[in-house]
Amino acid sequence: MNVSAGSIESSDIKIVIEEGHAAMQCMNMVPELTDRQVYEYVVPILKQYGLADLSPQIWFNGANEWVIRSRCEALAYSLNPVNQREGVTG
Amino acid sequence: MSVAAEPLVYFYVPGYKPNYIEYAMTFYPMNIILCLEDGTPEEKKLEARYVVKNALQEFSSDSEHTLIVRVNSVHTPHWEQDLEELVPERPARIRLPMVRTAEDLRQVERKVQDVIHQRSLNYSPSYEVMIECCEAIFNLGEIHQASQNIYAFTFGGTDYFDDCVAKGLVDPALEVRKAKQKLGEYCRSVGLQCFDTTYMAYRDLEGFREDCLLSREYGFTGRSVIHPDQVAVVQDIYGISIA
Repeated sequence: MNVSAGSIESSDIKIVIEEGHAAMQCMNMVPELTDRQVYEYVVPILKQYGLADLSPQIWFNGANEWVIRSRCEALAYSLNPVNQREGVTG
Repeated sequence: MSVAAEPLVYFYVPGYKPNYIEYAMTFYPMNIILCLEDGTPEEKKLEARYVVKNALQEFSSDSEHTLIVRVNSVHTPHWEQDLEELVPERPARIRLPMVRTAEDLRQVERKVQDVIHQRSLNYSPSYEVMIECCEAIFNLGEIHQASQNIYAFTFGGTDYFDDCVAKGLVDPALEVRKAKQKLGEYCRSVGLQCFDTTYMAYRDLEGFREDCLLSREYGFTGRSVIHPDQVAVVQDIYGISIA
C-alpha cells in the first residue's frame, strides 16, 4: 500500500511510504540544519509509530515535533488494515 | 500575566495546515477555530484530524488562546471519527456545522458522551451550534432545547445562501438577512451568545465594518473571521454593547 502525509511547506514534513522502495531517504530542506541533525530528530519519532522500517521517503522542512507526530499518526492509522475506509494522500 | 480571549473574535484556521496553526498561536489572546470542515479539503480530512489532535495536545497549556474545533457535520462520513479522536483532547468548545434538526444535535451529544464514558474523561463538552439552512431556522427552538451544553449559536452565511438557491427562493440575499435577524433576535431573547458568519472579501474592510454594525443590531455578539486585518473591526464593533 502506498501512502503519504504532510507537505513540503515550511514548518512541515512530508512522509511517503511506497511498496518496493528499498531504503529510507531523508531530504533536508532546511539549510541551517545538517542532514545528520534532521535524521537524528525525525527517525526516533518514526520508530515510535513503527514507520522507520517501512523505507519512508521524507522531505523535512522544519516541522516541530508535534507536527511530525501528527503526520506519523495519520500514516500509522492509514496503514492499519482495520482502518482502510479512509486514505491518506499527500 | 496571561490574558484570556474575549468572546468576540473567532479566527478560522484550516486544520490541515500546521504552519497556519503555529502562526495563529502567536496572535494576541483570541479564540482560534481549528477547522476540519470547509477549511479542509476532502482528501486531507484524515491527516487534518491528527494535526488538530496533536495541536490540542501541544498547546493545551496555552491560556491565552481558546482552542475550538469545528468538526465535520453529522451529514458526512467523518464526524464520528473526528469526535473519537478529538474529544479525549478536551477542546474548549466544539463547533457543530449544519445542524438541521434537534436530532442532529442529540446524535452528537450521544457520541460525545459515549467517548467520555469509554475513556473515563473528566470533560464537560460545550457546543457552538451552526445554523446554516432554512430547516435549521425553522427548528431553532427545538434545537436549543435538545442540549444543555450549547454555548452559542453561530450563523453560516454561505451555506444558508446556497440552501436558498437550491430551494429556488427568489431573493437568497434577502433570505440570509431575514435568517440572521431571526437568529439574532432569538439569541438575544434567551440570553445566548450569537456569532455571525465570515466575511470572505477580507480586503473590503469598510464593507465588513458596515456588515458588522448591521449584525450587531440583529443581536450577534461576535464574529468569525478569516484574516488578521478583520480582527480589529470585530473587536471595535462587537466590543461595545448596544443594550
